[in-house]
Amino acid sequence: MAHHELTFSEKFLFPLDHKYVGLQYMWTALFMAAVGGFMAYCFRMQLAFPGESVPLWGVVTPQNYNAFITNHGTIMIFWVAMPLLIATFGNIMIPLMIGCDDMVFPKLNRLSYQVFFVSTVVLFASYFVPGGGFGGSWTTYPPLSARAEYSLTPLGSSMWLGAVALEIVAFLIGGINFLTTTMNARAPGMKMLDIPVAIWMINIATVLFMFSVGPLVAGAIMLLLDQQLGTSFFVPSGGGDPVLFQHLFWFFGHPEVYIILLPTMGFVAEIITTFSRKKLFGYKTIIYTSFMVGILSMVVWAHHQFIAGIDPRMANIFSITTIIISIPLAIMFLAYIWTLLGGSIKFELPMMWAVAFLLEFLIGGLTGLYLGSSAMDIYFHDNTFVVAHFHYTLMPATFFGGFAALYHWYPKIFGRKMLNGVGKIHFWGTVIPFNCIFIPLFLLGIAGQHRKIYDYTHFPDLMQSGFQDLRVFATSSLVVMLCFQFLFLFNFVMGMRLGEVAGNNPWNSTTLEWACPSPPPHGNFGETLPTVYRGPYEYSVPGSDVDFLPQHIPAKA
Amino acid sequence: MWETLPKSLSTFSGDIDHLFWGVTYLMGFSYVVSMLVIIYLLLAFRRKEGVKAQYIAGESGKQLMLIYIPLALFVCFDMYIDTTTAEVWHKAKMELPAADVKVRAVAQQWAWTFVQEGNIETINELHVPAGQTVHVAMESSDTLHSLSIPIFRFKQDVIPGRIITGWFKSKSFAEIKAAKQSMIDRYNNRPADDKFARELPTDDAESASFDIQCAEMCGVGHGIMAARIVVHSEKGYAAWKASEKAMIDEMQDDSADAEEEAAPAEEAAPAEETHGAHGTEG
Amino acid sequence: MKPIATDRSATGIPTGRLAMWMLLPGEIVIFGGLLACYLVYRFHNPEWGVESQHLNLYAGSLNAFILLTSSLFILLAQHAAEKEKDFEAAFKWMWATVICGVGYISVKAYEYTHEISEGFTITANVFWSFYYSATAIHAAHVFAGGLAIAILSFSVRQGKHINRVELTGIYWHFVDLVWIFLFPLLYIAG
Repeated sequence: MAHHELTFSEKFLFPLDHKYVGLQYMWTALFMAAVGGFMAYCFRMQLAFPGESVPLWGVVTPQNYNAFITNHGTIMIFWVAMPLLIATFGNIMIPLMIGCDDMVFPKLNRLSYQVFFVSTVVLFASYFVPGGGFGGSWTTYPPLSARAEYSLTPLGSSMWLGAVALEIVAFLIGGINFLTTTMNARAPGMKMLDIPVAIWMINIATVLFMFSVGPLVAGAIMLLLDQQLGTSFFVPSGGGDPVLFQHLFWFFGHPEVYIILLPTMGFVAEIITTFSRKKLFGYKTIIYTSFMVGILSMVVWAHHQFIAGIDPRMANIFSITTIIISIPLAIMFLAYIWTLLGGSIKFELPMMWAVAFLLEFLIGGLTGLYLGSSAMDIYFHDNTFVVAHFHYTLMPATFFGGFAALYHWYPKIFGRKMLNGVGKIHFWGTVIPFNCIFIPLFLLGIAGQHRKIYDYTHFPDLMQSGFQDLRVFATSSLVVMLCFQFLFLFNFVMGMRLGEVAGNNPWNSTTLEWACPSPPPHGNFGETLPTVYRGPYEYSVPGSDVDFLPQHIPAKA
Repeated sequence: MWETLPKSLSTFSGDIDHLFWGVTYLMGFSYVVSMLVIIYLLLAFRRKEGVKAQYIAGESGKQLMLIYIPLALFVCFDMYIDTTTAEVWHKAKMELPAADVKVRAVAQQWAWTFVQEGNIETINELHVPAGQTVHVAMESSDTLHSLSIPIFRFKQDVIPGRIITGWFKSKSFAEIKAAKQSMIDRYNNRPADDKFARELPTDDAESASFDIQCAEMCGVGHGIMAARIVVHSEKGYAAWKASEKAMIDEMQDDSADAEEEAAPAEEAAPAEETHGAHGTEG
Repeated sequence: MKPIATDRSATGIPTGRLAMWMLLPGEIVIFGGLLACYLVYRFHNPEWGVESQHLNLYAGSLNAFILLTSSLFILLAQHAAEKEKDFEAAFKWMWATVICGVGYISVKAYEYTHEISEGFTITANVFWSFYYSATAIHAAHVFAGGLAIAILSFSVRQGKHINRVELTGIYWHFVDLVWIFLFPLLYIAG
């Protein structure tokens, strides 16, 4: 196969090469993170200083506020977490880590990004149509979302829904590529249990996505018909049932959060093994347990609906399954923690982010137990405590995990490491303010504050001494955290010019992606694709004179 | 400044709070231990010159005990949460004790209409007697809403086309009034530099009022759909009902007179008059 | 200029077939979700049996027959292309399938026209909303499948992309299967 030098168009406009498709997703995701972050800034400024003009925006009206919270959530989940964690690293890393020259269907891959791009354009367009952008929250419950007379956004609702549907199609297309490539195109000698955890996790997440999203697509079609043609799938006055939509939404919505979590768990596994020079503790246990997490995640959905008007007996069942899902997650966490035991740990930036993920996600996971209890959920449903809980899970998964992966694989993708000093400042400038934003939200939630509320000054019991101070503190911390992200942007761009040149394997890691040049050329490994001789984490093998045995180096005779 | 739960003023709010604290101790313990272990491992096994890492696969039964023993403890915590949850949920949501008082709550974009005994309608103010079991029959006239009364730990989504009945029973009026007083004291004793705190709306001697929030996104006005619950003593409740009834009767007489006089330009007294004005602002 | 990856097969299953078998579960859950909702509503609305009687049972049966036959045709096309290497015959069998697809859509168009003129529009009641949305989405899949087969037929006639006949066949059988579920649930369960 001829590996010609790629043209500008083949790299940046219409790439077939998996690395460049992955980079397209990455740039889009980082851009959308800025957009989503800006929306959070605007709505938090409204909460901290109600009614006042927000710098860079103006006065946040109730319509603006609802549209901001809705689109902040939608963007972060569908246009940041999934493209960054799954599409970027899935596309770039799968062929590299399984030792082949590209994805199995490059044209399908290119198409998936094109559909994703269109979905992004449609989403932005939804903000500029008459009536403005959709503001019925990312969960888009009918009848609010089903009738323009309620939502007051006749076009925005449908365009938003259409954008999400297109994003889903993009990921279904991409997912087929990931699964087929991983299953079929592995290097000779790479058995199933030699596949690195990161690749396992991306694929399990993909399967979970493909199985859980169908009912939501059906629900979205029905909702779209309710919105545009006046059908009444979900509108009681016409014979419909709004609670049915909730089931369709959350049947996907809950697995979705594990779809976002699992890839990061994969990246963290790669990183802690590399930087502790240690074999992963319980590789098989981790793989089997993540299957369990995937399966269990499909039977917990109604914990979002405990007080939604479902049969209270059903609530009991879902409360039990939800508490049970903490068990496989605890197993995975314990396996990761024990990987550190007996290690030789170096605190490079990827490792710092991986450890931050473990410590912060743990808070998110443990606070989930409050919400999985149907009895406590009576109090906490739609409460700011929920917001703090899911930010302690989703932000570590998306951003800490995303930063960990970016810092770890940046040298491979761009040929140089990111700047270390700048990176460390960025790290602390993100992690500390992050806690300063969301701990106040736990406290305010415990005190009774509900979420999605435009102006707390209307609620006397929420304006008691100390409450507004917490809101202002949280908002200020958000502003600080956002400012530090400029450092990341600087580091990301300047690293390509000023960073330390990386070479093939700057971290002395065992997996196959480090066996090719940094950056990899078109075709990745040149004329000879690698063969695999051992598992992915053979660090510090007793009796070996080097402290790591890469997968592709034959055993000594 | 460290906020804890609001006053616990119903017969099941204490159970929910008790569960909350129990989970907090267990989860807090789990977190602190995990964090200490992680930090210990990071420090004890940081890279040292000449010290090689160990090769621990985590596949043998003995090594896997490192996972399964802490897990067993965690499972015990989970079982506590599950069993206590089932009890409390049963009490709050699966039982429906006999009603002493029945009210209706009708949600709409963006206000609550409450219909109390004697067909007394109020907007954004729910009046209930202390210490009695209240049934609330909730419905919506448009989108989903949710009736949330934090001090009672009461919450129920409200769905158009369905009537859902929930219940609560508050503690004694003395306890409720004392709780409200402590909230007023908090305001009065606030730090001198507190520029944000707002004074609570006043109540008369026989009532105490608290927030009601809408807990389900219902459109543009969701964030300002504020309401209040006014809990009366026995005496106060009777007095309130009597005065409301008197106003209704007066209005009906007025409108009857007006019809007799056949004065077409005069409308009946505006609807606002029937809605309880106790000096408590929403 | 295919990547080497495309022809690898660690599982022993060709990549194209593997990919098609992954597309289908995704589609099945979409149709499954829609039908599950329909069934939930149906249990709560026994009066829908009356609405269902206004559907044209003959048309539905004819369409079932058309689709089943067309599945046979695409199998014959696959056999002709892969086993007999008779590309001209394969081309003809593929077009027989496409024509069946066209026939299917024509019958549905006839049904829709008739039903709408009698006042059974998509907003008439939730039964009709399900009927139109489920059958229209299905018809869209028939159309897409037919288009794919039509386009592929020209390559196959020249002996190229023979392996793809099987793939379009798998997809076509799936579309057929969906109708086997839709037809009784909508037209018959009364």
